[in-house]
Amino acid sequence: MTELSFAKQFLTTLDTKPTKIPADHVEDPRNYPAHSAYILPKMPKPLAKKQKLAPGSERSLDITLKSLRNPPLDITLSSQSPSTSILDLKTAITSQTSIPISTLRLLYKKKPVSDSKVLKDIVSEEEHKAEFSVMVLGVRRLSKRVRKRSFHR
Amino acid sequence: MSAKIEKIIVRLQAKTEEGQYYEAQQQTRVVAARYIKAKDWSAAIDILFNVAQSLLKAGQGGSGGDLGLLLIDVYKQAELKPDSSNKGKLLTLLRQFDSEEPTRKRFITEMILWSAKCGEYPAGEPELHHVAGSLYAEEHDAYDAERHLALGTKDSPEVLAKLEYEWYTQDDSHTAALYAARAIFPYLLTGNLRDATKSLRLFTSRLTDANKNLSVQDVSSNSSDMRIYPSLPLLNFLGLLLLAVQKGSADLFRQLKTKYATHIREVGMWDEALVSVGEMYFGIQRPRQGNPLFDMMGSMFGGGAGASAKPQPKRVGGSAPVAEGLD
Repeated sequence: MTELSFAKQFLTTLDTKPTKIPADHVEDPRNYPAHSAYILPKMPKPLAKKQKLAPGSERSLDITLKSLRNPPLDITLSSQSPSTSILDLKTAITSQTSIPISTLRLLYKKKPVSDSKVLKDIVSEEEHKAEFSVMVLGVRRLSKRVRKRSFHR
Repeated sequence: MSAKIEKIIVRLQAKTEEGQYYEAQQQTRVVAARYIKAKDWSAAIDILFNVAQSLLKAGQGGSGGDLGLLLIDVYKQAELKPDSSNKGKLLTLLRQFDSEEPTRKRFITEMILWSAKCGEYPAGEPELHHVAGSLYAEEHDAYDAERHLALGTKDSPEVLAKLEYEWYTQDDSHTAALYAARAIFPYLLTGNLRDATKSLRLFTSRLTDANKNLSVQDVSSNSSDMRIYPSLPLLNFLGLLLLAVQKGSADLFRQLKTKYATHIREVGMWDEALVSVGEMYFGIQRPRQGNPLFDMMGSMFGGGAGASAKPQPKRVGGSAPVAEGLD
């Protein structure tokens, strides 16, 4: 039987059976057993090692950190390594402004980014610069006018 | 951070800058021990984190890693929860290790163990697995990448499928399913059908993008659609298997295994995974270990030893409990 006709027949049989678990089923990771994951046995051909980049030949990114609201900020960090984490950026803001690190939130393209992410996770490979907006929590709430304007945008 | 602690850190970092790495490491241990004894966790953490970071930045993986491990130990003693700031410190250190540094592997293991012990995930925090796995994937350390990404986040299948595809491109063109399976089975066996399916989709879309001449046929029934690759039978097996697990019917599973038996035998490394899939999704009991002497002893002494000590098989999504002790 060809691949196609077997598959056709198999799908038809599938239709007659009740669905027990949905296609997007995920076991809650909180219930995973306390051991490492099963992986398939080793392959005869190992994956070729990556050529190590010479130091300095790695791509670097110019980072702008801006806050339009209170307190206004405009910090530029040039030639950052793609492995710089969001926590590193926050640390840099804190060391320049002494705003406590716990009150800082960073947004990239209006989406919040977590501390453990690094630049290469967030910024696409072609980019050589990136702008983050900075939110400082606990500072005066937005005025009504600002909120209205951003709503209309 | 108090001015006192800050002064201590600056002094220890100065040692690092002068190239006195061993002294920096030893003195940090001594100072940290004092704060650990006094249970002043935040001071101990600030000191260890900052000096470890300076040492790692100076390329001193051994001594920086040693302080990093001590930092995790403090986390454990203080029973700190894996919140974003605690995790962030460890991940910052992790990324500063040189990939060749032997201490790094232990650091990753200890980091996962801490998150398992003090957090809500017995197998370790998915986010930490994702970062560690991505790091290994980037360095082409395939098996460690698989091990961590299988327990990662919803972003992990993307990284894993990319890695497996890259590996496949170094092999013969008919071996595609072998590499796709390396992502699919680990997800299936953690009960994660969503990411098993996602891995297959991501893998095949790379495959078809790169091979415009690959023949593909669409098949559909009333409720399912699927793409068939006439030249890659095992890829079809995997696709049909992912549909069959949703139904959990043992006949379907047996039918698939029979149809592809020759190909599966040729692969030779799927048997164990398929037994587990059969057990988890189709309620098929794992065949008993083939040890005649053990079986005989078992039946002589009332069949106690073997059967009852076995862990209860886990059935994914099954409503009825699995029948026990039928043999």
